[in-house]
Amino acid sequence: MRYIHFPYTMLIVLLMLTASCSDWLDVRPDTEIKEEVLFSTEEGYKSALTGIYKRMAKQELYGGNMSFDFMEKLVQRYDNYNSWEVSNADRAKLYEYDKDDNARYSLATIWAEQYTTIANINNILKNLEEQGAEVLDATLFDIIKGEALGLRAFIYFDLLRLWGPVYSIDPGLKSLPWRDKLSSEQVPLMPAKDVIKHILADLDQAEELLQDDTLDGVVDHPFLQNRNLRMNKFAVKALKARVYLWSGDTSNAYRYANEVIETSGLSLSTDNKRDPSMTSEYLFGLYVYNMEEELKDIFPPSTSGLLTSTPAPSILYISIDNGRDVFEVGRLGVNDTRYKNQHGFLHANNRMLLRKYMAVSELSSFTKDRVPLIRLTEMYYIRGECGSLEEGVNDLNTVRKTRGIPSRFNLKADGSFSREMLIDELNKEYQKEFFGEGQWFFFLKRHNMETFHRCPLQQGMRDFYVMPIPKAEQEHGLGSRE
Amino acid sequence: MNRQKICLLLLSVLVFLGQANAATLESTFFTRSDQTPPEEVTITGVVLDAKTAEPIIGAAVMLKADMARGVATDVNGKFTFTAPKDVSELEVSFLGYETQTVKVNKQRDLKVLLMPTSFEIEEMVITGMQRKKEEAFTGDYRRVQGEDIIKINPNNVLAALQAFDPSFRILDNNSAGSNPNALPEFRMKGDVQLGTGIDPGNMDIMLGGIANLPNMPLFMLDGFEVSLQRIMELEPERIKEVVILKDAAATAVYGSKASNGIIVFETKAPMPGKLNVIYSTNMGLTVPDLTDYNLMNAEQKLEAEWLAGFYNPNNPTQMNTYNRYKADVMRGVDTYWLSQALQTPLIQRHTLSLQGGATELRYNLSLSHNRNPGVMKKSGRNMTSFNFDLTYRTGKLNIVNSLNLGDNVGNNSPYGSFSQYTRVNPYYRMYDDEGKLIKILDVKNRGVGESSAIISNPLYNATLEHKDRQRSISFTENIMMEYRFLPTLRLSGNLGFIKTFANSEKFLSPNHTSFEIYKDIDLTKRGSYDKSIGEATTWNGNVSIDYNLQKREHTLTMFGRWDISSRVNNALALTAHGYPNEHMNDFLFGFDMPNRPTGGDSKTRSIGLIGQVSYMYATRYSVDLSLRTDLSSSFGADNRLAPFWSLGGRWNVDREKWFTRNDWISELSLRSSIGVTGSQNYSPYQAIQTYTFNHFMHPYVSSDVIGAELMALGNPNLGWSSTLEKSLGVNASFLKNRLHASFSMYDNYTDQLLVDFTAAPSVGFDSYIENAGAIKNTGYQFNVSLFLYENISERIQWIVSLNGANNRNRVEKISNSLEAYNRAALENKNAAPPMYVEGESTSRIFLVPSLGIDPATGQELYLNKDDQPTFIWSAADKRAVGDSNPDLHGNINSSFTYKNLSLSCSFMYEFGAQRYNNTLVEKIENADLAYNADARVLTERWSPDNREALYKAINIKGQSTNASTRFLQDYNEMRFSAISLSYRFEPGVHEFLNRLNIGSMTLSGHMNDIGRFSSIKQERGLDYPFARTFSCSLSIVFK
Repeated sequence: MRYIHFPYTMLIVLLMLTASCSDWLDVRPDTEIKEEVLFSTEEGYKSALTGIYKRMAKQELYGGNMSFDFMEKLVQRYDNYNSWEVSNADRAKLYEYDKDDNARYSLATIWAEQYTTIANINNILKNLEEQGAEVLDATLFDIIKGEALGLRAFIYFDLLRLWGPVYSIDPGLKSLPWRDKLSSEQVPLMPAKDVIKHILADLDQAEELLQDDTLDGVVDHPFLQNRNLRMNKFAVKALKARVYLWSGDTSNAYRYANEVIETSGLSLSTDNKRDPSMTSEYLFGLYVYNMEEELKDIFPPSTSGLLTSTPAPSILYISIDNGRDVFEVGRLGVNDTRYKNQHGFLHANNRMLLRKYMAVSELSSFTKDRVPLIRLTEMYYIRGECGSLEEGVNDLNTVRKTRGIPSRFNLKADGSFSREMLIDELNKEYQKEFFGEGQWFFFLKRHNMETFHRCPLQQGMRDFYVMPIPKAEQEHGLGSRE
Repeated sequence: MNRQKICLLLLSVLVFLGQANAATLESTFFTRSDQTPPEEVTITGVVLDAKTAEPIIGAAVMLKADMARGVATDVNGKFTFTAPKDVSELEVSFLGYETQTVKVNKQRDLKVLLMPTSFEIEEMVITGMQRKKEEAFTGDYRRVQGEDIIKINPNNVLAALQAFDPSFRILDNNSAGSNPNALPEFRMKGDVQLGTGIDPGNMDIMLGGIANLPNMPLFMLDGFEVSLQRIMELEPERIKEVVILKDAAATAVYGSKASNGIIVFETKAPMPGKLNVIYSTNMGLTVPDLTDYNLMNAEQKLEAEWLAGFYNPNNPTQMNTYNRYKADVMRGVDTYWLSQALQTPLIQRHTLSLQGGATELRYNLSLSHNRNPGVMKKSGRNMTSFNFDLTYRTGKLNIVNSLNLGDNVGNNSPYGSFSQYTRVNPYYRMYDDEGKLIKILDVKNRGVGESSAIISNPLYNATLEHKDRQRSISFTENIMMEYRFLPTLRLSGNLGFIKTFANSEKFLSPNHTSFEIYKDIDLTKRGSYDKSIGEATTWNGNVSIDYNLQKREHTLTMFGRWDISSRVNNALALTAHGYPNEHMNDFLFGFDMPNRPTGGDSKTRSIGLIGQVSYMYATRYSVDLSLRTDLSSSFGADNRLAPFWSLGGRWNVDREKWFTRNDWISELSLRSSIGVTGSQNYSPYQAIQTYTFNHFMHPYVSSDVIGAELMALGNPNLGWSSTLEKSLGVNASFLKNRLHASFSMYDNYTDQLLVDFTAAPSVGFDSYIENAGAIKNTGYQFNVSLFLYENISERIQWIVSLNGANNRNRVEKISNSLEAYNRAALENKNAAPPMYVEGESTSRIFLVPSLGIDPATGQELYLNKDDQPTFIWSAADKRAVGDSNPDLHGNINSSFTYKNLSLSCSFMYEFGAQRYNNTLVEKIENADLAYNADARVLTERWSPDNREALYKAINIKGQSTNASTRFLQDYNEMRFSAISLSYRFEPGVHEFLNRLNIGSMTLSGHMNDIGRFSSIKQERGLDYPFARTFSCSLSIVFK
């Protein structure tokens, strides 16, 4: 009988052994980190926020599609087609957003990537609410929260500008799912005017939180340097000007554009030879690690890429004729620095190649690897569009002067000068100024322009400003516009 | 060269051993007295099974008067015993047989017949943890003998195993075909879990990690958990038996590891004797099987291009191109690209083992080399393994030590993916006029606005310097100790250690066609080298006690075990580029590394506690109760698993007093079990939200830290998923034991099934883990084997067996979040129909119903939700139109033995399922005609002259056809998987064996994957063709 007890004793011993090993079992894979661990330190919040900028800088978003790639292809910027003559019908295929592979894929990518970024932002905001105040000092808390809110507004606004309506015509159109917390919940589309309200609410809050922010940053604070590469106070205000203008609130748009011009301390740049993307005008831009190297196949820094009879299909060049039309060389001469060889473009073999993202030798570490998102010029254009005709003409002339257009071509707000003419001039300026920056399409859409330079559509552009909700979204029972 | 060297080496080893055999064996240390005193005599004899007259190997023959003196019988059941002259009695014993005392008179050549103790007691079920008496075992299992496996497939143990149990299936890998470097995927339970193909180059897999493979069963080898690679390296000749454990009662002791089934392998114990030299070899040919390809020839292809509109008669450039091709075709250019990268290689395996020892101490030393070249040139896998087993057994103490070294080298073909060869147009020539391979065959214009197709010669790359190799080396040491305190109480402990090193290397020459785009731009980017290295260390140990009490009619067994395991692995992968000269093919010569190093580091640890109580009454009724709890680092530190348990019962009806064994029915037993097993392919731990720095390791200038982003969307509301398994089984023998039948049915209810659920893109992540609700799998399995003819005295036997399985699943309930999702989907006219619906199966195929091609327009006509014909395809019109789950699948096997000759064959069948035929879509309708395609492109496409066609009109880039029922086909299949013929030579019958000092010899021939008859015609083996194998095996036991 003695022996019968033995197994039970053993079992009890084993049970005790098992109970005391929870420390031994607590191992964590080294390549990832639990959310709650990340957000238990200041560095974690900083990393999570830095991650947002890194995400935005991907080629799928502002490092490509949203800047020089898809957004510019939408307005037929480039001429890099195969050897022979390209018909309008071929170029128009892009606007069959549901059928054309390039358009469908790019739009689905932009939609999905933007929302992944939003999901990341929402999770930062959630953690800030829950435990941020315990971990962060008040300054950093305000900065991180302000930037996160501003970034969410920025991204939603770009989503709205693509998938939302031409606002002046149909502000009630159901446009986007507004997601402000990270979850798998089913969220239907929200009407554009409500999206605008939410965006403005985020921006109001961001403005409040970032009121002590400057563009110069804080000395000796390595996390608060190069503020123009972050969603800073003036980026928020400039974005507000953009949003108000989009929603038709010209007085507020004027107010914010003016405030930025007056108080940001930035001035218009005259040197785009050594600083092709004009970083000194950045109200908000992104740093893209090793960008020029990565884009070498698209914007090769030497003329050899342009000299061959058929340049590699990846090179986004334009023909000299196209360039001369865009920059009105016939009317305004060749002095516009945005057009000039070795300034805005590299000219060779009757072709031109944008220098904004090119690895040119003049770049310093302060000007390279950057993508502009909001530049000071746009504030001049917005103020010019919202103010009186005189002010508009003034602002346009100011910009044109810094770009090298001789003053004899200055616009004059005399009796014959109408608002339509102002809009027409602004259109040309957006087309020239934001080459490769993805903003021109939005100008065309805001004004519901019937056509544009080299528009291949016979029926005009008006039916093609609103992007269709991606199929994958619809297949989940979401995305109904009705 | 290499192959010859190895053959030579093996031969010389053989010759040497043969001599050693003759010269030295007399003085080996096993015989206790090698100097025979004059008063001793030599007794010889043979020990046979009294029932079957088969020789018994390893039976102990001992001196009754002095039990310390004894010998064991050899492979032919023979023994030679030197005994004192006054010997009167010998005792002969063997496990499972009644011990017999033999009187020794004047007779010096004995024949001993041992009676099996009882027919049943010799039947033990190995569960990988214990041996259990079969008559008391309440679980569902299938046992297969090693020699039966060899008969079906001597090259692939796992493929052979399929023939014996329908629930075990290797999934067809349509892209990897017969690639010897591809690892198989399995299906053990009815429901295939979500899973993606196994990448054999994945470092974790190379290191033997199986934790993250959703469908991988757990492999046990001689009581230790091993990796899939180890099983693939295992020489079939070493296998004694394999047990597939199926239901809860059989697997509950494995807890959360049981979810994909357990397969237990047991190897043969070393044969006792002076020194047994065993040599076995298997050699054969593998022949590529291209019968599923039906491509256009040069003339047809050019015709198809003409029809598609590649050439405009008004465009002189295009017409020039056309005429150039045409001229080539007229000159007879019609390259059969398919065969260019293929070979018919010789596969071979050699195993040499030395075994011997006495009853107490036995050893086995074996060396095995397996060369397994694939049908694509220069591809293959070579495995070398070395084993040293030592067993020591006395009355109370039992120690088994086993050491294994394995070396596994896989080479991928420099010829690249087979799909390249199926795509190249046959009107291209391989060589230019000077007889050199053409690098770029063509730049084919697809028309305005479309990119041109650069068609390179796939053969060109094969001429370049190339490396694409994976290697893993493992060292395994297992020790098992067992001590019997009392006849009823046993304590045992196992300790296992595995160390694995792996590396993979891939070098592409700077002249490789994939670098064509850099030609003018950058020399520093041409040529690339990928290199990765990894290392893993696994420890596992356990302590168990076994208590056995037998009193009159009652038998009580208790079993307790504590086990602990730990695995650490880390890996590093580097890529460099810029190798200007292809002979500078070492990683070190790279210009720079474009990407930062990647890799991983992981640790897992787990602890398990097992308890089991079994009770049997009068060999008639038995009950089993098992319990297990698991703790594991992969569940999170504070997450204790709910205990897994099972309760099983068995009733041996044939042992009842009232049951009279008769001619009609001779055996009958019933068994049933219920239990809870783990069935998670995800753990809630995986649903914890984590961040990674992985993609953002570069700086962001306005920040002093690196960026982090979310890995995936977490789901805090998940619960553990578990399956309640119920099963019921009957075993019976009829007609004087000529018909054996077993039947089992099961009902598995999985609650809180976790699925990887696709999310709307606006969620921000592709998918998230969601509780789908509950799913019920029900099914049955049967196995019938019939002795069609049996004549024991003439040794003729013909057995035919049939097995089959059926599984149906049904969604029993769905979670609230899914229900909300489904509701939204139904309300939206553009939404696809929901996947998980209560009362429906999860393997349904959803497609838009098609009415075929409209003869008038050539457009496909669909049927929409309201049964109206429409030309517009919409995901919302999808309906459940088929099921990918077959009604019945299984095998038919036949085995015929006449004296020493045996003939076996095996068929696999499957019917009642539907499949979407991708070949029709990809290679006909959506085929990009810049490349070659299926011959039906030419004949079965719609045109104004062929209005009743099956497929849409021919065009250049292929139609972008959406999935519809037009491509859904019934899937019924019968495969002739194996046939083998073998002959066993015996010394008594075949005199020449004695002259050659051979104890026994078996020669056999095999054919595998012979034929396939299917209702679906589709291309198989896309990246690597399938193959048939013809081989011969020879196994020799030297005396």
